[in-house]
Amino acid sequence: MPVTRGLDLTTFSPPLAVLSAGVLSPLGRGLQAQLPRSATTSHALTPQAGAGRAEVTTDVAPRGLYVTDLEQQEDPASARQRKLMSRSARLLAVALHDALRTAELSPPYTDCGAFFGVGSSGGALPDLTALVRRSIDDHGFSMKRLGEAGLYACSPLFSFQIMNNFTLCHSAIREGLGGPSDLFFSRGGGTAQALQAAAWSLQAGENSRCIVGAADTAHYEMTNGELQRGNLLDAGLVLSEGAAALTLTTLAQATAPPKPLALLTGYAHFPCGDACTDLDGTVLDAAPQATIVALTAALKRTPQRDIIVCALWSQSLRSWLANQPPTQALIIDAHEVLGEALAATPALAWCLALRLLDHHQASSARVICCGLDGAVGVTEFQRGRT
Amino acid sequence: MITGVGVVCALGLSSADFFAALQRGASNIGPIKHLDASSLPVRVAGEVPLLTIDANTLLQRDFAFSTSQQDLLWHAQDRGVFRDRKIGCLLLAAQEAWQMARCGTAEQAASLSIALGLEEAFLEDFAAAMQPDSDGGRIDFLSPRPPAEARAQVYPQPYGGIRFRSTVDLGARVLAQLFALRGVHAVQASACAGGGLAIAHAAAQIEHGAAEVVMCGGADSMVNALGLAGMARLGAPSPRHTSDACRPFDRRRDGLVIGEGAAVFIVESADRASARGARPLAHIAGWGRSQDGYHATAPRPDGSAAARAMQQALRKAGVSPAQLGYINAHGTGTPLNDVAESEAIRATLGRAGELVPVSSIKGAVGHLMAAAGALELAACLLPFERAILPGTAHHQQRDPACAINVIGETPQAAKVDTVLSNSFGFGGQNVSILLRRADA
Repeated sequence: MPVTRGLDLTTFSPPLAVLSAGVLSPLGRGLQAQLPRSATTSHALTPQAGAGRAEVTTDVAPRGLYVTDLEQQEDPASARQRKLMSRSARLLAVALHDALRTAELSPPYTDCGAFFGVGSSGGALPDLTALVRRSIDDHGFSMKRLGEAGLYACSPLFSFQIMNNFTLCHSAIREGLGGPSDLFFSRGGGTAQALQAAAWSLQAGENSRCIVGAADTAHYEMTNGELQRGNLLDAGLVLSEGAAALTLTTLAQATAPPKPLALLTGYAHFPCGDACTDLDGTVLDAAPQATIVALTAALKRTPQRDIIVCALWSQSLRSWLANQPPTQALIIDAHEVLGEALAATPALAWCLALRLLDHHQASSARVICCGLDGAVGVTEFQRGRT
Repeated sequence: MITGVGVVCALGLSSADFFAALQRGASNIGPIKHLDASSLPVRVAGEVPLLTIDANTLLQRDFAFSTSQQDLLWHAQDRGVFRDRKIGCLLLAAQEAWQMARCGTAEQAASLSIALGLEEAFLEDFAAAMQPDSDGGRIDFLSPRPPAEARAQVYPQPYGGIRFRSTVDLGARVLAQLFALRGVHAVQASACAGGGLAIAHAAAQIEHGAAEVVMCGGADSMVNALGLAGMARLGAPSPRHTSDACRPFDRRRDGLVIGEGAAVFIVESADRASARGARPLAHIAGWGRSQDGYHATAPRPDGSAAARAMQQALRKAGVSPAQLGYINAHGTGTPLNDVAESEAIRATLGRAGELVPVSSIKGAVGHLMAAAGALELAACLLPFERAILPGTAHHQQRDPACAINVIGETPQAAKVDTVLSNSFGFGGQNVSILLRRADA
C-alpha cells in the first residue's frame, strides 16, 4: 500500500524571486492572457457558496483545448529549426523566449540554467507513416523492407522530433543557454521535480538565474490514442496542450529591474503510489485514496491562502473538490480552463496563479496539481515585495 | 555514498561479470542477434547476451524474488511490458543493487531517480494498424487489436495491453512496484546525459535531505527497429560492421556503436550507510552540469561548456586537477566528440590534462545512450574495487588532435582516490560526476 506522508512543504527561505513568465496556453500567449472570465467577477476573494469552486465557463471543445494560433505566433525559431521541432518544442520555443525577454536578461545566457518537465516523443506522423508504409511486405512489418526502403522514406530530421529532451534543447540552442539543465519526464509529478531541481541549483550557486517550466501536448496522435484506449477521456480528462516558463533567481540577485512578479515561497511533491492507471495505461482508479488524502491535507493546511488553483486530471477528483466545504480562498479549477496538458499542466497552473495573484491583488496563491501519475504537487507564491 | 550496484550490459549480467571483463580488457561488440538487422546500415551493437529478457529470464537468474515480486513480474509480462527490452535489463540490475546493498523494509522509503531514454516504438503494431486512405495510408491508433492467432505469428513477446510504444516512465513504474518504493519518482529525459544526471539528482536529494535512500541509474536499448533506423539516419554510428567499429580517441575513429543495458545504484548518506552496516563502494563527492547551447548533434568544438561541468564537479568535491586520478570519458568514438572532450579535459585540468589517465569503455560495450552515464559510473568503481583503470577497447593509434593521456586497450594497474565520469548528450546537455574512494 502506498503511504502518504504528512503534507510538509519545503519552504524556500529566503524565497526565490519569479522575474518573469512566458506562457502559451489555450487561453492565449503571455501572462496577461491567462485570466479565465469567471475569475474576474466580483465573487473573487469572497467565500463561495457550496464548493467554493469557480463558476467557470470555457470554450472546451468536444475533443479538448488547443493552442489554436501557433503558426501565427511571432516565433523565435527559423523555418529550418521548425522542421526539427515537435509541437511541444515549438510551444516551448515561444514561451521560453518570452520568459527571457520579459526578464530583461541580456545574452549571452551562459549562466542561465534550465529545468523542465517534458512529455512523450512527438515525431511527425507523415514521416512515421511513410517509414512504416514502405516497411511492409505481404506479412506485415518487415525488418528487411525497413532497411531497404522504409528508413529512407522519412526525413533524417524526424529523429530530432522523437527525442523528447529536444523539447528544451532546440530552445537552449536558439537562445544560447549554458547553465545547468535537467529534464524530467512528467505526467504531472515530474514537473514538480524540475522546480525542485531548479531551486536547489539556485541555492547552491550553480547559476544565478534559471528557467523552469514544462511543455507538452496531449493532442499528439499517438498520445491521444493511448489516452483514449486507456479510457482516460471517459474518466473526465480534457485533452489540452501548452508551454510555460518562469525565470527564477535568488532574492539577493533580484535587486535590479524588473521587479519580481512574485516570490516562490514553498513547494511539495507527494508520491501517492502508482494507482491511477495499470501498466498498459488503462484506468484503474481515477481518485486513489492516497491522492485524496494528500489533496485533503493540501487544502486544509491553507485556510489563509487567498487563491488556490487546482489542476486535477479526473472528473472524480474534480467532483471531490467541488464537494469540499467552503473556504475563505478563491478556488479555481484549472482543468476547466486549461484542460490536461500532461507535463505542462503544473507550469500552466503556475502562470494562472500568478495572473490571478496580480489581478486580485491577493497576497498569496497555492497551486495544487494531480496528474496521471497520481502524485500531488504543491507550489506556493506570494506577491513580490522587493 | 554508493552502497550497491547492479549491472547488465554486453560484458555480462552482473557487476562481477562486468568488472572481470573490464579487468581483462574484454570487448563484446558483434552482429545483432535478437533481431534481423542485416539490411540496415547499422548491423553491429553491444548487445546484452540474452535473446529475450522477460519474467522467465529474470526468475532464472540467481537473484531471489519474493512471491509478490514474482506475481508482479508475471503481471508485467501479461501487460506486455517486456516488449521493451530495456525494462528487463533495468529490473535485473536493480535486483542486484538492492541485494548488494542489503536493502530491506526500511529502504523501501527510497526515492527513485532513473534515466530511461525514449519509448520503444513497436513498428509491427504500426504496420498492423495501417489503414489505406487517399494519401497512401494512415495509422489508426484506435484500431482494434489483431486477433490472437495473428498476434502469435507476429509478436515474439506477450502482446498484453501495451501497443505502439512503451511509455517513457514504464520501467520506473515497474521498478517502484517491484520494490514497493514509497519515495518520489524522477524519470530523467536528458538523452545520453540522462544516466549521469539521474545520479547527480539522487546525490542532490540526499544532500538536501529530501530523501534518505535513492535508487538511481539508467537503462536503455536502442537495439530495435526504430532506434537503429533513427541513429542510422543521424549518421552517428560507424559505417563498419566489425567488432572494432567504435574506436574512442583513435586517429581512425569513424563513429559510435549502439549498446544496451542498465546500471543501478543504491545511494544513501554516509551516516546512514554506516549505521546499518552497509559496505560503502564510493562517495559521490561532486557533480557539475552545463549546456552547450550550440548544436543539435555536434558538441561545442572548444569544449568550453563541458569544461564548466567538469570544473564544477571538481570544485564541489574540493579536488584539484593534480589530485584527480582518472577520467572515464564520454568518448563516443565520433570524430567531433572526442576532440571536443579532449579540449574540455585540457581546459579543465591545465597541465594535468596531459597526465591524468583517461579511457572510454564505449569501444567494449557500445553507447548505452540514457544508461551510458550510469554504466560508466559503475566502471569507475573498478579502480576502487580492484585497483585497475579500465582500458579503451580498439584504441590503437593516438590522435594528435586528442592530446590527452588515453589508456590503450590494456587496462592499467593504479591505486587512485578520485575519479571523474563525463556524460554529454545530443542536444548539448553535459554532466560530470566525481567519485572519491570510500575510505579516502
